[in-house]
Amino acid sequence: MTHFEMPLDATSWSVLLPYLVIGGGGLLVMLVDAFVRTLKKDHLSYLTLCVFLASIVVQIAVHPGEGPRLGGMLLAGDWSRFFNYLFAGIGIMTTIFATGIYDRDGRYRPEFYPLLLFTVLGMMVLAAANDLLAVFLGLETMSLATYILAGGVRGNVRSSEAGFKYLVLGGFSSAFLLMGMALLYGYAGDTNFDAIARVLATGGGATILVTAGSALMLMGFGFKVAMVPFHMWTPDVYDGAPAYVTGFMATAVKAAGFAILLRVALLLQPQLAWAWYPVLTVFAVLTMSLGNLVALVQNNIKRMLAWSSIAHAGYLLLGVVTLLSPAVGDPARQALARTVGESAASAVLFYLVGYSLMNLAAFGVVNVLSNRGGEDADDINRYAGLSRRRPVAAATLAVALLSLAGIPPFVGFMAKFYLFAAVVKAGLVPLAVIGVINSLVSVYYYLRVIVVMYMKDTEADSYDGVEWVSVATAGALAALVLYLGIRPDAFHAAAASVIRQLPF
Amino acid sequence: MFEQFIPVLMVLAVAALFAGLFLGLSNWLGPRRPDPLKDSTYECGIPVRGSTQIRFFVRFFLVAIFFLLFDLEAVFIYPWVIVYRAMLEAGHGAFALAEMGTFAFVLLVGFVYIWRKGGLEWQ
Repeated sequence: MTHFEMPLDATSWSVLLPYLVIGGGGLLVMLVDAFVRTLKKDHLSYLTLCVFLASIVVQIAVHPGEGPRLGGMLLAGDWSRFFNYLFAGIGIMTTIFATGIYDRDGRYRPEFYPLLLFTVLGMMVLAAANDLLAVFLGLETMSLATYILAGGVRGNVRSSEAGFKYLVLGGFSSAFLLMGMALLYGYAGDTNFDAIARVLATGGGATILVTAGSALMLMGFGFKVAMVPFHMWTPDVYDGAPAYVTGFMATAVKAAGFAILLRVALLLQPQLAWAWYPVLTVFAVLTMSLGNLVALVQNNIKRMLAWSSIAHAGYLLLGVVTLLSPAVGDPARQALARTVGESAASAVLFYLVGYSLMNLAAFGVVNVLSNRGGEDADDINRYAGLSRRRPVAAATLAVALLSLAGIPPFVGFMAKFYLFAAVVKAGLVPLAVIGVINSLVSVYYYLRVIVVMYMKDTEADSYDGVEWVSVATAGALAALVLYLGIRPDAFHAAAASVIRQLPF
Repeated sequence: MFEQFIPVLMVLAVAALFAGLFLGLSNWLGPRRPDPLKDSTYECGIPVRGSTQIRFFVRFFLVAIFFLLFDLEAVFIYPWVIVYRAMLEAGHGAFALAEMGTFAFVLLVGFVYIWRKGGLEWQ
């Protein structure tokens, strides 16, 4: 006879509450959009902001405890709370940037707001997933909404191309992921992470199933985080999508992808580190190097940022590689393994937050400079003399780019520092050297934009009235980038405490 | 555990062998005397009229998408029906009903959205 878990008790509700707020909020925004005739253009964005804030308040107020909940489907606790805060924060910033641009040029996309909420819902489920089914559900909810976000600018051929490319390739990668999950299920006989971990610990069964399955799953996740060689969609999609959507995809989708990649890497680490470690090492080095080298020759700032986001995925992959390295897997030195693993994983979390802040600041400025025709200001030469025309926007973009390059007083430096420190701690000095060389290379193309902004003559300003709320938001993000670069300790400690929940 | 798949593999191999063998044989041995009538598309004996690649009104596409959406959702009701009696006996009937109610409600919201946004108007 089928066995049923006790459906929903009080704790389950408190676990579900943030997800219900976001999901229900999405439905509410849809209905308001469909039924309220007297809507002003920015009312839906206020409602969306309220939903995001409510989800944050709920997370602060309700503590459902730690561990797998809802029949082992979702992992409750600090880990998922950390990512939920991150996604809600990125959602708030994206809403502000998107609204700023509607105000000016009348491009009104009311369907943007519910889609954004549903994307965030998918990401929250994905980051908290403790079961292969929850992984797939979260990933698809996230992806389907992102395809529309990327391709949703009506009448814009490049946006349609971006959405179509993303849809076709994303569907392909989802198929790989699903096949991998099926093989893993065939190996373990269960979709729950804890059950899979138990089966993996015994070491029985057909190893080929779990090896092939995990390789296919790596393809699926690698596509989402833009890992070379699954990166081909990134430049076209990031370039074609409107800048506020690109900022969202480059930060939130990447963070969600790395959340689940970390979970799966930790899950498979005991048995599959021998296979994943060399493969991911090669991929990480390729991702960093190719991203940086191709970014060098880009004249389009959105393409440049797309390749730079590939390069940053490479740095982040170094953290995952460290988790799988022999130093962490060594049972003889358990204590050291734990320290290295924790410092690598917490460095990845810190990097994700820092990267989200600086990348959102950069895309916020690019977004606000788009002109009345709806085209984003993507040609680097059009930024000439921006420092004199728009000093605040130029300064914000400069801070964001310097931070992306990893120049000291900013968070990008501290993030790279923690990450490379963890890599060195695991004894992988060559990898750390490759990473540092790569970030040296990246300084060139980030500084190039700053040189154009500050040292070239002013061109005629083809961008209309810069909307001050977006600029102020991007400026606040830049201030946070500076603050976290100077005082990273408290935040890094928080990231480290989040990591302690995970099994090593 | 791979031993149990060997019969499946053998069936596949034999099928591929036979298909390849007879296609190859008829290709190799069969005489070929093409004429225009033989090369024309055979449609139940009726000569083809005009191009088959005509344009469809884009509305058909939208209707097809809506149909797919709501048709696929109905598939999800079947597994629920299967376990509903068992859940009823386990004392979780109200919960099972509420779950399906939530599912149907979300669907309904989607439907209402399509309706209000004019997706069902044939313009």
